[in-house]
Amino acid sequence: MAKSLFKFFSSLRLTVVCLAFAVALVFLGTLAQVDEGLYQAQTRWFRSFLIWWGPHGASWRLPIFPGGYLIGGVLLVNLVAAHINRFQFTWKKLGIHLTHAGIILLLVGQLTTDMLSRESQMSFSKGETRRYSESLRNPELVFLTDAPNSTDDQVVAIPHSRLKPGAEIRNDYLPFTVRVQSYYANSALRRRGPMVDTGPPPATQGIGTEAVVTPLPEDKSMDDTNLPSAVVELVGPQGSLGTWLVSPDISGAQDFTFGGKVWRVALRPERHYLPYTIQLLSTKYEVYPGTDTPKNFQSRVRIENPERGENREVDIYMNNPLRYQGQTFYQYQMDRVQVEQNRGSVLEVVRNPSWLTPYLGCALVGGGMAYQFLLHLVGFVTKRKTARV
Amino acid sequence: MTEAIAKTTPALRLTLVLAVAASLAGCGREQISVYTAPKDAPPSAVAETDPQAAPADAIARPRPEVGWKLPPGWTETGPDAVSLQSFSVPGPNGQVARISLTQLGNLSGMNAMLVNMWRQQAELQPLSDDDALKSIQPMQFGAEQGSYFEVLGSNKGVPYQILTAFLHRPDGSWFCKISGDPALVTAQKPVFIEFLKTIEIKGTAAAPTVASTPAPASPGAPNWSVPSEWQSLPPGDMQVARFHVPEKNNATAEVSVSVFPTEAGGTLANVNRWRTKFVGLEPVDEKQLPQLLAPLDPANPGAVLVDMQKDNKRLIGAIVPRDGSYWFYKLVGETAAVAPQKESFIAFAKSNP
Repeated sequence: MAKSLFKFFSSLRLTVVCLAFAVALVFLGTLAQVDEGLYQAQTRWFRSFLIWWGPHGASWRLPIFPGGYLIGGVLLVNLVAAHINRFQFTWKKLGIHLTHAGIILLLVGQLTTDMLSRESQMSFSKGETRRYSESLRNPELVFLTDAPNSTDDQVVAIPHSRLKPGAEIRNDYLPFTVRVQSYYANSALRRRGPMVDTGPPPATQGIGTEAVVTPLPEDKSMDDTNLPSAVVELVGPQGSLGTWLVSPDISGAQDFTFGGKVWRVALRPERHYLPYTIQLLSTKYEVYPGTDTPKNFQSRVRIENPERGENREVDIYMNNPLRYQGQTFYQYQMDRVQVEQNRGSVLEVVRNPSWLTPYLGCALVGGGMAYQFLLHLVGFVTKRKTARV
Repeated sequence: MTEAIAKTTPALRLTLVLAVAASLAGCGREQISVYTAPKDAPPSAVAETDPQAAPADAIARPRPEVGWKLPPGWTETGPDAVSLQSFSVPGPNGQVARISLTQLGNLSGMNAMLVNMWRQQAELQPLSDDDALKSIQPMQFGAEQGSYFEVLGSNKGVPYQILTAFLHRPDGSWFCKISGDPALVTAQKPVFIEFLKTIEIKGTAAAPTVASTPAPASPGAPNWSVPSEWQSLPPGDMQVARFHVPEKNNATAEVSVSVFPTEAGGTLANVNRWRTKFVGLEPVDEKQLPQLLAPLDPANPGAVLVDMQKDNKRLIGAIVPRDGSYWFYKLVGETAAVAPQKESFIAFAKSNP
């Protein structure tokens, strides 16, 4: 059984089938971007094990195609199995081994990039200092209270993937249970208006008693962001404490007192704290003369890192990112209005621990192929010389 | 070591590799995290003060970013408590037509009510919903397809015409109207229609957001005299102001002010809404209404005051016609907190914003 399974996974036929599926997946996934948008299509077609489909509104779905993770995973297993099966180290086959190792590194590198890389944004006004970046596509429900023996906040952050309607969330650091009543990936909030809004408010506590939430279809394009919102009920040992409406559109956290402590609840973009601070000192927006075509966006920032005793100014501009402690800071959005109104700047913050793997993988493949080619070339030339002699 | 590897079967080697890969892939990413972090500084405290900067309340209640191309002959008259921008255009015989661009909460699905609100302002009888909807036609509003209707009537006996274009968006309903002397409004109609096309609603900052903390007055807020002990609260979409009045024996009350271009259903409908919704009283009919109303201000004969109470709840309301709009003032809360504020509230409602 094990042998036949191993034979299956190390077969060349499986390689061909996987490559054929990969070609079809790239074609279909590219077409899907028209309707689903780039981000959604990438998630559904390439960052998944199976592509699911079901009629609109139906509660059931069927897998209709292997996803990128499945095809890539099987291809990786196939490659490793084939390599193990035919593993015979000789100098003559060094190039083949290097080429295979390079391809394996490319596949593993892509997987680790998907798993470990993180894109977030840091937006600030001139003069403002930030010690965190935010993932706008990943909201988190946070409960904050004063940290013991500290002036800091103690933060309990619940990722949005846990905010499924009906879910009950417990944590040792929370003296109450969080029940998710509703969660909208995109919504519009406004205050209740006289004569217009006569239904019950979405929440019984906080600002939600005076608000109206309208669910909106999720925006799947890369350019626009969604405005998520949720209604959560907090339940203590004595029963319900009420329901709260939370959304990034509600500025600041909403306070409540429980167990002798003041708690604050908010739904905000997921934060990634840094061990150093970045302050925006100035911005520059240049266009080509006589046009509105941007020529350069530039942010001058100050990095203060007490651990390293570092305090220096850095210019970040188009095609000149700042690489610092495993993060890369790219100049992101800026427009003329933003600069004129002193709205500041937005930096794209990318953390990708496996950013070197594509370079190493390509170098291994190239080196292996070159070695193999030269080996054959030298052998051919030598044989030819010998024949002439 | 090499020998040990050589002794393993290929299947075992593959199993080992897969086990390592599976353990790597199983790293959880969606866990609840608990950490300590410095408290957030208030945005206004950390941002550099700059006269060109966005308004201080931009985070709590951003003013929509909107652009337009000013037609020749029109003058920008600035924002007010209701409109994002107002304009005026003079006529050949000294008439003046006024144009306003306003954003309210999302009123989609209420088109018939909107038509009848404007008909009421032009002293016309309301239409049935079907007839009201028939009077609406499509019209380009900025880059999007909006709606348009015309109302021809009178204002205090003087002929009066209103052309209204509106657009429902997720961030709210946008209105642009021109009103005034029918001859001037009709002459300006082609200019108005071209002006509509130039309106540019920029970005998503347009939505009036809900703030959990009090926001300072916005640039277009009324410049009125507010009793010093009242605490300003963030107003809603259809409110221009909201205040928390001092508590009395733990009793609380609040003042809110809304402005509408029309009577918004009329005095009877509003009084009954206040009676039923806020105080828990039964509605009254037209015959009973005059007994409940008292004049608010001798200088403004149309302004009325109502005072209603049931059990521990009390509401003092004022409806004040002013400059072609209707101002609705409301002091509502527990009786102990409302009673001491009555005189301050009346003075506030009478003061010209």
